[in-house]
Amino acid sequence: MAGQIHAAIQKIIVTRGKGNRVIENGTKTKLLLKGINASKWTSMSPDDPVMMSKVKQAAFELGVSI
Amino acid sequence: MKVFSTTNTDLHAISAELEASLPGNPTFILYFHSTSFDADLVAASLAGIFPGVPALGCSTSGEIVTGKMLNGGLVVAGFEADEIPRAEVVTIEGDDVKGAFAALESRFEQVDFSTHVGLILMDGLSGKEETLMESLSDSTDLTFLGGSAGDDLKFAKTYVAANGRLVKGPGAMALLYVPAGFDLIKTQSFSTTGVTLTPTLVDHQARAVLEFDGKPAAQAYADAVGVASVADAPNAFMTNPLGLMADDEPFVRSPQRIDGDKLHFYCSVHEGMELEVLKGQNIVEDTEEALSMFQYRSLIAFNCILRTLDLKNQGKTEAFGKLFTQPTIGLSTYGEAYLGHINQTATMLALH
Repeated sequence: MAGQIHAAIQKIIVTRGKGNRVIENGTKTKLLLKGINASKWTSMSPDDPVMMSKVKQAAFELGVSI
Repeated sequence: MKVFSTTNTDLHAISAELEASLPGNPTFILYFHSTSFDADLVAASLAGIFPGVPALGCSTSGEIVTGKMLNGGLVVAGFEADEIPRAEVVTIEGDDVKGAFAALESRFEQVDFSTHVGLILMDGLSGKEETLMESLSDSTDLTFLGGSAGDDLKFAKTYVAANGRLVKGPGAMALLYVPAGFDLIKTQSFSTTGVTLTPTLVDHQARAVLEFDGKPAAQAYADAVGVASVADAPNAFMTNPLGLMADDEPFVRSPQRIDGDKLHFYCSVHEGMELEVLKGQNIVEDTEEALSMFQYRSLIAFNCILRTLDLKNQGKTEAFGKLFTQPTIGLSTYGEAYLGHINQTATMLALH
């Protein structure tokens, strides 16, 4: 499998942003400060379990179900 | 915003002038002061002059007021209802910044991303800024900015006050209703060099990197910035910090000290977080350019102490102070707050 990390990150950004581009960008920066660089992950990226765990934790902290 | 500034530490002697300088019916009082002033007395005096008015303040390592930078001063801003009709101030109890935000938010019937903005002042020696800011950013998408209180580089004790009293916890927050809107101006006066360092072993608690790219951190940093030896590396800290890049915008991570192979920072970094080596630019010119891109009626400025020290070293504090032509209040901080805990920026709230 590939792309699950990208999909999870995008869900966090879209859910939190609620269609507001400024909030979406802010969410990307919040993820970056948590050590998750959204721009580095694509739909082809391998599903690294360590990073997936980090993304799940970030989703929990940001109140997003993934 | 109307501002008052002084370096006279006799609060009794200056109280009449202070009161006359500020609006008669302020809706919010914001102030910053050197440790030359008695923090408790400043908080109580302002509450005595403006009873019941929400007030937020902290100690500094230098103050900023319209047209100048100060040392050993007190700067006070009073906001009027046409600029900030409503303000609320709360303390952060324990480390419960989410609870503090919820308390703030509950006092407003409605909060809106474009017309409500938050300020946060934190104990600059608590080491809790990252935790607090991450928790706050998780809680809300409203813009919060602020800084860490200073103590004139004594690194002994900093003070934050809310509504006339010193806070016992890690800080205090305000939520402001700004119907005309606002802009956040964040400038760091650095450009990228194209050289990257990726922490591969980190002591998160100590804000230290043990290894960059699998190599001892201190040596890797020295190599990246092109100094002859690890011993020379601290000379590059001010001009060559590292930046976590959010698109083209660096979130600066400033090196603090070298301890053996370890490189300590003023804020935390994560393993695998690619960092760019940055190169210092002209702070005065860069800040002037940043300010020129916005129209505003007043400004609240949080300027990193490292920038202030750099300006002092270069004899540019007067030129920097003159950039603030609109009513301005600010301070030199032990770290700025915006989405997280950051360093070596001027993070400013421009009120429309």
